[in-house]
Order: sequence, then C-alpha cells, then structure tokens
Amino acid sequence: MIRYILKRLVLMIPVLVGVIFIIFTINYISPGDPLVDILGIEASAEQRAAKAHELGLDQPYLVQLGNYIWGIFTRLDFGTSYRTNRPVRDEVLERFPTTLLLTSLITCLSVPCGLTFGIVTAVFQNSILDYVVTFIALAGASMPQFWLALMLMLVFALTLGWFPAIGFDTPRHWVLPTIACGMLPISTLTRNVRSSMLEVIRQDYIRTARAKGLGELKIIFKHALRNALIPIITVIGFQVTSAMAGAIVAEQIFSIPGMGALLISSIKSKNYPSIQGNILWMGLMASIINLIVDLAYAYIDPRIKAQFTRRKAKATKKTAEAKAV
Amino acid sequence: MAKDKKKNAAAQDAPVRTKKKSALSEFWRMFKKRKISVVGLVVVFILIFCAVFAEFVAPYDYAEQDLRQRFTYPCWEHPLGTDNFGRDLLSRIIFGGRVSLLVALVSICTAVLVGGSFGATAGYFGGLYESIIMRCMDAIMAVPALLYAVAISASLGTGIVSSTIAIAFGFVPTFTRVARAAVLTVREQEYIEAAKAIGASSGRIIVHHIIPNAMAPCIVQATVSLVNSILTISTLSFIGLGVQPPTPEWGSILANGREYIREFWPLATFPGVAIMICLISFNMVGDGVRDALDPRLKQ
Repeated sequence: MIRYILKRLVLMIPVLVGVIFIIFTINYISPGDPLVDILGIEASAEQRAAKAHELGLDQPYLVQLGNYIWGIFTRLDFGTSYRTNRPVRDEVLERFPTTLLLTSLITCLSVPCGLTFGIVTAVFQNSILDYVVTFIALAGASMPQFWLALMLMLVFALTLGWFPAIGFDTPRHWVLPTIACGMLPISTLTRNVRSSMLEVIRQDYIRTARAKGLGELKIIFKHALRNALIPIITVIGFQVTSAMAGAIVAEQIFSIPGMGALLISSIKSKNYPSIQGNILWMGLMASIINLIVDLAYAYIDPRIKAQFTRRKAKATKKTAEAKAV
Repeated sequence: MAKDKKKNAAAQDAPVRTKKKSALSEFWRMFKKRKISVVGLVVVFILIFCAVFAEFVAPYDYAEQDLRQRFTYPCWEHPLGTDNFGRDLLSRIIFGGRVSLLVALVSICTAVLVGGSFGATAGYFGGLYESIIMRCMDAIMAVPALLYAVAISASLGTGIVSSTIAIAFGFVPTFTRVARAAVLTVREQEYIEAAKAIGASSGRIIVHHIIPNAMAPCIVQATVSLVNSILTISTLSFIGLGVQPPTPEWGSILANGREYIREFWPLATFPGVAIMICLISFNMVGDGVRDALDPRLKQ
C-alpha cells in the first residue's frame, strides 16, 4: 500500500508540471502588457526596461517558464504580486484556510446527504418518495449555484433575517454559503448513486444473496452499495474539486475573504502572478483530492489492490529470474 | 459493365441506408418511452426557437430604455417587470438565451470535435502517442473546468469568442477519454479486423467504421456536458468575465440583479428561473438520450 501511495505521488509530479505549463502559457499569450498595468501608461522606456528586467519579463518564453517551475518546486515561490509586492504564496496561504473550511463544510454536507438520498430512491424505486426526491435532485442539478445563493440570501437573510447575509466569521455565517454550494453536489450525487445502485440491484449476485436469505439491510449495504461505490467515488472526487471552484462564486456573493475573492480581485486588476498562483494552488489541491480518490479505490475495491500486488509479484519474479540468469 | 457495377453499388447502398434509418428510429422508439424526456425535448425546441427568432418573439428590444418605468413589478405591459434602465426583463431574458445557448452549443461542438479526434486517434493507434495525449489530458483534468474557463477568459479578455474557447478547453479531456474508451472497445470487434483484412486504410477505418460505432457514448456525454457549459457561461458572465453589457446574458442580468437585490427582487429571480427551466429540460433530454443509447440499460 505504501508503495502504491509513493507511486501515485511520483506520478503527480508530471501532472503538476503540465498544469503549471498550461496556466503559465494561458497567461503568457494574454494580449495585455503587464508593464503598462504596473507602471501606468506614462512610464518612460528606461523605467519599463528596468522593470521588465527586474521581473524577468525580458527573457524568452522557455526561460521564464523554466524559472517559474523551478521556483515552485524548489522554493514554493509562485512569484510576487504586482499589486502588493508580497509573495503570492503568502497571500494565497492567508486566504486558503477559509476556502478549505467552506469546501470541507460542503463535502461534509453533500456526501452523506447524496448517499442517503440516492440509496433511498434506488431501494424504493417508483414510489412517491422516489419521484419527489428525484425531481428535487433534477431541479438542484439544474440550478446555477450563484442564483441559489442569491435566492437564499434574499429569503433567509434579507426577508426573514434568520442568517447574516455577508461574512464568514461564525457558524451562523456558514449556513447559507454551504447550502448554496452544496445543492449541486447533493443533487448530482443523488442522481449518480441512484442509477449506480439500480444497476447493481439487478445483478445476479444480489438475487443470490436474497435467495440465501440475507437481510435486506445487509444486502443493500454489504452487497449492493459496496459494488456501486466505485463509480460513485469518482463522482465524489469530482464534486469536491468542483465545489472548491464553485466556492469562488459563493465567496463573491457572500463577501467571504477566501481564495475566490482574491482570484476575482486579481483578475480585475490584471495581477497575473496572483491569478497564476491562485489557480495553481487550487490545481494542487485538486490533485491531492484525486490522489485520495485513487487511494479510496484501492481501499474499497480488492480487485484494484490485487492488480497492483500482482504487478509487484510479477516484478519480484522478474528480478528473481534476472538474478538467476 | 460499368452500369452493372453502379447498380450493384446502389443495391448494396440501399440496405445500408435503411439500416441507418432504423438505428435512428430505434433510438427514437427508446427515447419516446420516457414521456418526461419528450416533454424536455419540446421545451428545448421552444427555447431554441425563442433564441433564434428573438427579434420576433420578444415584446421589446433588449436595449430599449424607458427611464420613466424603472423597476416596474410584473404587470400586463411588462410580464416580468423592468430593470434599472427600464428595459423589459422578459425581452432581455429571451435575447440572453440566444447568447447562452449559442456559446454553450458551439463550445461543446468544438470540444467534441477536438477531444473526439484526440481520443479516437489515441485509442486507435495506441503506443507512445496515446500515452502523451492521455497524460496531457490528465494534466488538464487535474484542475476543475471552471478554473480554466476563468483563467482563459481572464487572459483572452471578455466576449463571446473567448468565452467559447475558454469553456471548450475544459471539456476537451472529457471527450478525449470517452472517445478513447469507446474506440478501445470497438477496435477489438471482428468487423474492424475484416476491414483491415481487405486492406482499408487507417483513415477509412476510423471514419467509416470506428466513429459511427463509437459515437453513442460521445453523444450521451455531449448532452450531459451541455448543461455544464450553460452553467459555466452564466457563471463566467456573473463574475464579469463572460459576455459584457449591453449584450444580455442570463448570468450578466443576474449580476445586475444582485446589485439591486435589496430593493427589487424580480431582477435577481427571473433570469435564474429561466436558466433553471432550460437546464431541467436539457437534463431530462440528456437522461432520455442516455437511457436510449446506453446498451447496459437495454433489455
């Protein structure tokens, strides 16, 4: 298992380099001139040349890219913000806990809810309960998060006054953003769990389990759910990373001082190092979530684990053969 | 002789054509079974009709201002009320649908074409080429699509074209994966072997044999992704990166509504209802298409 984790970690490095390459290139091809944004239009040619040299902007593309990647991997240096002249890393790390908290809250709300609703609707297929929950899930999967956020704010904050409209200081502030961002993952999960469970319930081994007289609960949780979980875990991982991205919008609406707010203000002020740093940091987090998903596969599905151990057995056999020769 | 050959070719063509037709009618027969999907399809057609013929459907022009009638609540004259410039909200929503649907459709088509061809060739040729393509797609997939859309529109600037590119980019890996998986299963079929045996070129095999047979999963994925791309374009416009005013777009009307949410609720409510109706019907169609095309669910 440790070898598996290590292997996955090593495989993450090229993916991260690829992400850095893409984000860097996207910003590089931007038609705007960052020097104009930093120094203003009136700056003299010498001033500009000096600033360009200071920031390394006078070097060729590949050198800039190489320096950037090298800086990230050796010093965790995401560059310096044009606006505040502080390292982007520090600014991002200041904001990150808030976004992490919001993402965790969304996950903690949506995963249990989605699983429960999905299992219940699959088990009681074609009942009234199934129809009602499935329709709510359909509506929830068809709602833009920012609109739901606005509606929740309008009803529960501005009209009823139950929850504060903006800020993120106390648990009372957490409620509306979490629900606004959680609706989409809950609905998507419910729909996926339901269809995945329905597919499994039709299998022969479920009939066998029933035939040998197992209790219904045991059949659902031990036989059906465990087999249905594999595709569901992919969906969960995907929903968590999307929730992190969706937090950008919720943070803007509820004035939450998280990474999303920083990203939007960086975009408005064309602060490229800050934009890059923010997106890369979220990409890094998403990669870690993907890693956890992969590990969860191996944990839940013995076939995946077996595949890996078999490969290991093969490898040891090969080295043994090589030694024998 | 030549005539005979032609006749033969025509005779061979004929059954193929009827077979194609029967695949489509088979699809329709399966699709029809879900009444709710048919309802969704009807709504989708109505929405597309409204978007295409917005000039004739909408009661007012989307930019027509009437400053004496600012913030009118829904009434006979303005069914959904007016905004801060006295512009008719219903007309703006109808015109806004044009932008949202256009950007969503074009970006998904682009993603299907680009991702599909990468995936199909990767699955067909395999080897180093496949590894390189798939590792690139892993890198793209590592970051949520919305973030790429934000990054690209921040870099390319706002506007319909850059939003379309921005949204399409994030969807490319999805289609690459789906197309590759579909091609991998089709590639092992006997009719591909047969085509190879009679000396068909790779290009011909891909275009004539693999693509038609591997298309179903891509179509299913495309209908599902349409919902996401509509969501993405409205999100982009909402945070000010998509389509710029005065061009109406559902997301940008909502962004405007957010500023006046304390004083005037319809402006922040109705565009969202429009998005929801649109997405619910697209989702219903998507479910129907999936059930009709997914062989696993066929009895």
